[in-house]
Amino acid sequence: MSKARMVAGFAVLMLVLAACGGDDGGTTPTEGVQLIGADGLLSTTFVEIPETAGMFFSGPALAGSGYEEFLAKYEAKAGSGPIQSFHAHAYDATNILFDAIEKVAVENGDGSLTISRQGLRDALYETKDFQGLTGTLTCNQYGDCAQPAVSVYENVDPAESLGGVFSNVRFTSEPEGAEGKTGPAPGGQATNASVTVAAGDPIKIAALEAISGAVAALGDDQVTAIQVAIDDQGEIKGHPITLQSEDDTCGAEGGQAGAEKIVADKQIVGVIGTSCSGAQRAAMPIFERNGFVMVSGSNTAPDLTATNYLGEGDLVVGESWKYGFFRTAHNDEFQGQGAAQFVYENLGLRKAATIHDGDPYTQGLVTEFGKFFEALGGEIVLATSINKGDTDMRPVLTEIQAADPEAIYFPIFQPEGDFVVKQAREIFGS
Amino acid sequence: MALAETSVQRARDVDLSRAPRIGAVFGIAVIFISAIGMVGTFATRSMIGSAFSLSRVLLALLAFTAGYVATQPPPQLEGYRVAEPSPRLVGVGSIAGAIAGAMLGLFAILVDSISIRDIFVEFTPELVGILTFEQGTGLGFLLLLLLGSALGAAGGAVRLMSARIRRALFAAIGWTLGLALLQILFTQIFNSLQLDFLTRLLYRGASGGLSVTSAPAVAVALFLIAYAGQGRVKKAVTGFRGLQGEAQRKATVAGMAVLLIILGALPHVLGNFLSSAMDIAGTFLLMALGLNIVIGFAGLLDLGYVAFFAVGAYTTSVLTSTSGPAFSPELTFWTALPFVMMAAALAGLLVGTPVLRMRGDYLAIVTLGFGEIARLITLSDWQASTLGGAQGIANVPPIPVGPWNLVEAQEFFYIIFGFVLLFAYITYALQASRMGRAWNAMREDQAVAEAMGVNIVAAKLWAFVLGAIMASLGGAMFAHRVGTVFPHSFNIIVSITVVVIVIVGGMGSVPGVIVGALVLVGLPELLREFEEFRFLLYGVVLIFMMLKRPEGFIPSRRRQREIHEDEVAQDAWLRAETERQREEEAAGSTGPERT
Amino acid sequence: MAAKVKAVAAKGGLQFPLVDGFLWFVRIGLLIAIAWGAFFSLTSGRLSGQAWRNLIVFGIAQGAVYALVALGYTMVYGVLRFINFAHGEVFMSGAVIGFFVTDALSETALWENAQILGLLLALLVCMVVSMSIAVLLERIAYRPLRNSPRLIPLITSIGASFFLQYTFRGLFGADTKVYPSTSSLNGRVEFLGFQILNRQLLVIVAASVIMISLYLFVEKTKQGKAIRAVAEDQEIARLMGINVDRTISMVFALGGAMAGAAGLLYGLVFGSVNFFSGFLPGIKAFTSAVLGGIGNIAGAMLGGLTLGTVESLGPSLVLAGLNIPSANQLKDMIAFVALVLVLIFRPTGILGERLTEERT
Repeated sequence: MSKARMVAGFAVLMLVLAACGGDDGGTTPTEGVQLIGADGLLSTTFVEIPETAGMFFSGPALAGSGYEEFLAKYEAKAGSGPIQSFHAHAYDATNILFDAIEKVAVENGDGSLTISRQGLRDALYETKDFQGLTGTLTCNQYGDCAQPAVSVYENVDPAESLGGVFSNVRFTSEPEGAEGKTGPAPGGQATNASVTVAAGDPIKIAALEAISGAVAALGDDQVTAIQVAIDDQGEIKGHPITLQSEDDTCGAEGGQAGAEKIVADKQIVGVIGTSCSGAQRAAMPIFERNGFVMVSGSNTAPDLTATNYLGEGDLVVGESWKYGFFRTAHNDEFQGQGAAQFVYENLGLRKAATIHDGDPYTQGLVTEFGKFFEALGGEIVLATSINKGDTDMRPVLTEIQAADPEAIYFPIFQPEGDFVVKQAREIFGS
Repeated sequence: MALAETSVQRARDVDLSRAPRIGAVFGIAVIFISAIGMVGTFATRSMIGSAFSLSRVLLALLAFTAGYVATQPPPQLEGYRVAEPSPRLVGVGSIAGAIAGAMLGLFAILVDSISIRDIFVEFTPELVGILTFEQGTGLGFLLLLLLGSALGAAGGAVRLMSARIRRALFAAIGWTLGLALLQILFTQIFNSLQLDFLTRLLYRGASGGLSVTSAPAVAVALFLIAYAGQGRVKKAVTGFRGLQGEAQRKATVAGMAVLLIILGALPHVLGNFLSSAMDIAGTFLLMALGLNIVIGFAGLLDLGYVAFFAVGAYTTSVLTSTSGPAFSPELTFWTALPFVMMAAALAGLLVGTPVLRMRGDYLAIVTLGFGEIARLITLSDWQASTLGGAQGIANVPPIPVGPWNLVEAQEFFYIIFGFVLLFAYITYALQASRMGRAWNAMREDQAVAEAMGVNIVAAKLWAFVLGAIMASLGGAMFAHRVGTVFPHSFNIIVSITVVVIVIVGGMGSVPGVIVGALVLVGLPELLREFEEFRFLLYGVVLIFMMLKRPEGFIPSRRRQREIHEDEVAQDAWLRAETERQREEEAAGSTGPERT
Repeated sequence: MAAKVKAVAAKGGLQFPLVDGFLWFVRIGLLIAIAWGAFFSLTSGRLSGQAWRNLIVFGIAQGAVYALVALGYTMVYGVLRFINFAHGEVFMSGAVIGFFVTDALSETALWENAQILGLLLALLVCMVVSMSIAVLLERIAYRPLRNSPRLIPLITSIGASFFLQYTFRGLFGADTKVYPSTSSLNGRVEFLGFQILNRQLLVIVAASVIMISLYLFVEKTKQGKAIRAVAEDQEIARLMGINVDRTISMVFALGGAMAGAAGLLYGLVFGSVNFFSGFLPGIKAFTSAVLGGIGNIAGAMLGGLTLGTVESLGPSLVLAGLNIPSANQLKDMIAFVALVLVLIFRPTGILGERLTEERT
């Protein structure tokens, strides 16, 4: 193809595009579209951006008490406030583990403690009405311990930062029939292992969180919260508690490597983690094989415990369910449903578009949202996605504009969330 | 023509102007590692006793090296007699070290006085404390100056020793520090070999490093061993290389047998966590052996190798997983293997065909593009029904071997290294084969090779296909080991890591690639503290290797000759000239002199 | 064509025609797919004319940034014949330093009153810093390797890229830096039915000015002539009395300065940068340089614009028309596929290379 022909062809294409097209959408931006994010964007650096004023966020319901005191202790320890939103769940996760250890540990005559791993598992599954920061925790046989409620918050004034957002609760879901719903027994093999903590030795627990890389804020928050929980607990039956912190790099390989390192130390009683569901899927088989328990303050993928909380019929065992895994964070089925209900009923909007960023968590969440929104009678006009690392969101927002939604649900992370919000204001107006 | 013996000029033993320059360079280096956070992060890792943290050791090493490098003897010029090292060297070394120390002290003062913490995140009061030994900036500056000059002096003093003592000393220091740093590794080995007493003797606690008493003792012991053992290793290797025919074959077989026994016992010695690290290194090694063929033999720089890795991982996952998205035949690893290889071959052809006529650099970028295309397709919603999209594919079963399932890291070790041995054998076979010679010819000069009748198209396509099959097997291993495949695991970093292993290890050389994989992938798994700085170190290692030793750690002889072909040619010329002159003198020629 | 086939067949090698045939098949197939997708997208009326025009503008603005960075790649390739992978990080350094400068300036009165002046000052600082980094890089890492096989400096540049990325991370932290809001850049203009945001206009205009200056510099001035001479043949240039070392340093300095400017513009348009921001734009910029014809300055500009528009239009025009879900996710794929296609069917890029015969 000669140069001239190529350039000519290209120019013709541009002119054709510039001239044609459907009816002209007008030269001014369309009237405002409601933007809704999720807990990935509930971070101080995001909500302080001026363009986020008026945005809604679906996120964990903080239904318990004692959050202010906890926050004060957290800030004393870390030197600054938490950046992400799952720190309180990590605190609760650590505490139900301590509770179980206390119930199960047997004091021997010589001052040592024996903790049976199977006993620990059973005690955790029997956790009932535990008062935590995030609400009343009761664990079912699949490992879901959180109250099945989510909240939607509004960012009224970016200057008030995250604290302000959390104080503006606009909606809290009440999924009927979800609490107490049951299903088939998931199975699982018992273990004979046990841990003996010698007299004077500490009880060791481990944390497997994402403490490096782009999501380091999430993991760091959780580790600080765990440390606050350790300080608050002090001792269990006369033995102090120490923490070994491992990195799951928010990925399968990191999760597996960290898990291998943890199970190599047979003195570790239990694990708090992981930060990301991807790491959990690789780590939990190793923990299950060795009888270890893991309680997560931030894994929300539905298939890690059970699904069909909100549908007809019994609960279905999650595809990646593992014996000995518990979580104090909500199951994303609830978040998808809660957000959908909020948009449909509270905001009265009927047409929504969704954006995910290729992360399994966000993609799962928009899928749940879409399912429930359409079940309520709404319409998902466009379900699209961007990539992590993208900076120019204008083409995808142009596509969304053409689909004419009333709301956009984009449960993604920073910095992509920043770009979406700022550029959406350009394209959709405020 | 005047020759060396007739001149009586004496060279200087040291170049004084180097000292300030080298001191400044190392001063920048110590400031750099403080500014980017290494000093802060490593301060919590104790190496020897509670006083010598990793960051102190690092800074001390840099000061010592400043002195050592500053006292490097100037290049030996023809016509000069080599000078004997004099005690002046100590002074010169101390100058270099002092300059480095003073610069660090000034840096500490700077950080303390100006608050630019919003810009440079590591310029914290804690850093100042670490640098000044908690003594405040004035006293700290003096301490750094003195310590720097002392260590630099030591670096210079080391030049006064005989080469043998010096080498033994470096070996002793190196191994002692290695023992301290790789405590996890050595503890595990000692404990599993029932040598627990060694662990208790040497180390303080689970991660406290060597104790203050054991470190010097170990250093002295290692020094004696190194001193006595010097030269013996080299003699053994030369001896081995010198063996001919029958003897060499027997020695090779014996060597192989020993290697197999060690490999067989290794997982039990290493325990689960370290075996897991070795598994990861092994997976990368499988890929590196494949890329070795593409880059090392055929000379095609493929920067998108992860595409083949992904093909293997996804093919086996789709075919074997119990919860695959659409099409879930649930085969076993072994029945799926032929399909994996076919898919890989197809992928190799798909990638190889368009790039047949492309030049080296373009080839690199296009293959990079293919790597990214592969990742984007696996991630896309478009193919989510078969490939799982962002959720990936879960529940990939473990590999069945006879009645057992290879689930534990230790068990997995065997199959990975089984494949490694297979690939290594294939590599050696290819090297000696007709295809290997075709690749050599193609790599050295494509036009000439084509003119000589080498089928370039076939050679290139075979390189891609074989490389693809090897990478895909690595990918399949990976999928079965981790149990889930996510598109995020197949990113460009993996491609570049494998390229780095092949190039830094030694292009075209199997031992080089093995060492490369162990050092560049295995080591970071053990040294988790370095995770933050892992890629920084990769970058430094790459730059350093390319400047000093581009053919890699353990190069193949061929590549070494190719890369240094100018020098090789010069050496050959010089040898020929010397030969000729000697002959002329022997024949008593008085003909016209030629320069 | 027929004669060639006969000749090769006579040799007994059928491979080339097979390969050629396969590539023809690919070419036809892709053209059909593109036409199909475009046809359906356009006729479905999903996007209004205004929307298409907007997409073109987005593409041009993005492409202008790529073009600026691509110039650095293409010039270095022209003189030294290797891909300087670290150039993307030089771009990132401009973006990150730009953040610190604008952040500091935003506290001063200058920002309130004469924001444009402040931005110009920031531009100057960014260009100087990036220029220094590029020149230092050349001195330390590339100059000693002047005579090595071309693979070696390529690998070194990969190492330098990692080094720069993680140095910036260590020094300045891994968090995202949000540029202060620049109210003077808000608003939009209309031009022949195209709506252009002021920000985008700034990028396009600034990039054009810089690129045209560079083109004039290289074509018309004496130093530019020196650069062209060194690009053609280093040895002869040296014999002609040109200081090759200085010329090469100048090439790196120019490329670095432009990348720094591109970094600041990028920060102003998108508002957030971090230490990893140079990676993808770097790859895309190099892709643009190759697309337009490496070694060719006009080619880098054209390549950048082409890549930007293809990325912006491609998903909506072609993929959506083919009913591929989440088309925007695949925009990077389109960019790379475009690269592969151009290099298969027009191996020297759109405008062709400006190099003498290949010296491997």
